[in-house]
Amino acid sequence: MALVHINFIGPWRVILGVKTVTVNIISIDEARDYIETHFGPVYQKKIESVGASRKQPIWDNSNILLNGTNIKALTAVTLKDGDKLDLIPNVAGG
Amino acid sequence: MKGYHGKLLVADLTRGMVADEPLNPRYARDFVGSTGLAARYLFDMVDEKTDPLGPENPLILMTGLLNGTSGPSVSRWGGSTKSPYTGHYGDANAGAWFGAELKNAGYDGVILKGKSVKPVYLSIKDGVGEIKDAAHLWGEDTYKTQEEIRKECGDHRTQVGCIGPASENLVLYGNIMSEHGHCLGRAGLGCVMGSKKVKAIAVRGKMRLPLQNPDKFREAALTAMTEVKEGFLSMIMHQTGTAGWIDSAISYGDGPTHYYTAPTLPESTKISGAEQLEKYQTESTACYGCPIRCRKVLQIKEGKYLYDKVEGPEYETLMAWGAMLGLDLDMSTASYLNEMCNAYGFDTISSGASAGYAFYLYNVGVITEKDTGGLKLTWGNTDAAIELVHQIGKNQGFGAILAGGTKRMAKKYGRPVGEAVQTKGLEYPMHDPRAYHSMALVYATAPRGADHNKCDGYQIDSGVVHPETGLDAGDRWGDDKAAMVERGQNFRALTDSLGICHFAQIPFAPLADMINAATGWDTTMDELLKAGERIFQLQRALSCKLGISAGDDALPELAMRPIPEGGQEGHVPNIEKMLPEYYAIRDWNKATGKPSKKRLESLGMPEIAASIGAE
Repeated sequence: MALVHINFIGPWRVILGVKTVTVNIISIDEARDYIETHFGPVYQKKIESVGASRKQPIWDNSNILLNGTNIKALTAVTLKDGDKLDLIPNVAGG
Repeated sequence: MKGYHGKLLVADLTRGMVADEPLNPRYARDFVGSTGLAARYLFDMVDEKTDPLGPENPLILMTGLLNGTSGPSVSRWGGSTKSPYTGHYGDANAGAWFGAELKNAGYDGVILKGKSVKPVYLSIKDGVGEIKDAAHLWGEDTYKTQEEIRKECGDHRTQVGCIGPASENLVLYGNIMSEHGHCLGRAGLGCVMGSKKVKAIAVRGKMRLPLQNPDKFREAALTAMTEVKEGFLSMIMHQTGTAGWIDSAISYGDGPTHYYTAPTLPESTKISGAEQLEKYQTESTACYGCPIRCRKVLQIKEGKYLYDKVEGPEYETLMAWGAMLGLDLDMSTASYLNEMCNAYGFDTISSGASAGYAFYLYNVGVITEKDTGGLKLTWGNTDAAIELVHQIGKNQGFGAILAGGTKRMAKKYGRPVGEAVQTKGLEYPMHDPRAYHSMALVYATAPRGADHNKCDGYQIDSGVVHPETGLDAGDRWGDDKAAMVERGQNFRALTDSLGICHFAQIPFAPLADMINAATGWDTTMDELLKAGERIFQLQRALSCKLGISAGDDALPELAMRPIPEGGQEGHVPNIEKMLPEYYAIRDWNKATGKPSKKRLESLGMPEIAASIGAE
């Protein structure tokens, strides 16, 4: 297992009400499960508060940077102590 | 004609007369609406000799095909003219409520011709156009102008597209503004309106748009509305608006800083959409018919400039008048800068970039306080930035130099043209091609000059992509973007002409159903995407007609220098590889840059091919 810091960037920080969590996980799959289990319900409430209902996974709608490198397209990534995962929502600019 | 009113209002300002003109049905079928249709009309009316500020240059404003209907997020209208800023093809599109209300007033578009000798405004109500005196409005800012005209019309639902002092003073990137900060920007459409002494166009009406099958339209629109409401992009844009991109821009190195010479300023997070949502946002408002409601109203209770209610600045403005100049802004000052730019009515991207270039020239010692009228343009000098906004709006002092844009500035100060970060005379928007290589190709090939709205490559490679376009997120530093950019440009040319917001991902089936039910056409998405290609190639052909050639598809050297620190990690797009690949797909001549005769003919435009001498 590895102690990994997960950062919720920009809109995620405010919408999910959390900036950083440190969790004991070993793989990207575990990171995904952790996020959906712990923060999925928070996001679902937000979705419903604006009159929508369809479930939207946080992970699928984010870019995932591992120590600054986008790993969204990778399937097997092993994590190590001190790794930093940034979750950036798929937002658009102007 | 179903789906259209079938008529345009043509104002001959020289003679002080207005007249109705039938909408050309073939143009409507082939070029759809808004910027597509406007470009087709413009093609017949200008050439290389046309003086952009002369009476012979028309200003053409067109509604999007779906404006005024019950479709979701279909507010966007557009226009075109020969740009006084770049000297060639210029277009723009905007949201808010003007386009829908112009449809309600009974017209598909407005063409301004000639030049008035005194300030006037055009009033269009329920199928009747009238030229009215505007002497009392000349000199007023864009907010006051709208307020006064609404009072005169006695109807608060009157929508007004107007110019501010900047366009009256012929600032070359003057905008046409409507509501709070919605603008036809970039190419100087407002400046052309100012040159014609037209202060505003006021529209209002209750004329029902004839639809071929209203019941079927309603059904398709409802399906589309549900899909847009449920989409992730809608949800996230509803929360933070475009300023929500700022944190992404910092992570990816997408936000130009210190005029393209430094990594994106991390302090910009203080003015991000997340920060606005957490501390300042009081409500969200919408453009016509839009369930996304990405427009933000802020309350600013701390800082130098206080607002009980102020429109939240967009991403482009926050970067151009922020990190670009090295400003460490708070929301109070950011809101003030935005409000001033909008009140004067000028383009925040080109003005911010021009200010950024001035700061750069000052910091490398090319210009001094003697040139700037005493302003110390050290990176981060907010007071100097504020002063420049006022000088640009008045087209006075050192601001008058900035009002000409970066290409003219480079020439004035004897600098290499590649130091001015622009393409074809139009400054880069706030998405750095070193962060997303696709944007290099987007900027190099967009018809009006560097234009992020002609293909949102940076969004696509961030995973924000319409699932039915056949486009997928790829490596943001890949140089294999030619096919993606071509397809993305065609798609955006179509959605712009339909009047659909970029943030609304309407599934193709209900979209085609809406169009068919509105117009009575029997079209398919393949055919509509072909129309998108036709529009893009027409706009390119028009650029070529007005003097653009392959050599103009060049990128500025300054913004091709690697920045190893921050989110760009030293990457630089390989435009020498991408551009020939793109030319091959588009079938553009390597020397002249013109679309081929064969391609134009295959898109049903033999007359365009003949006009530009395509081979």
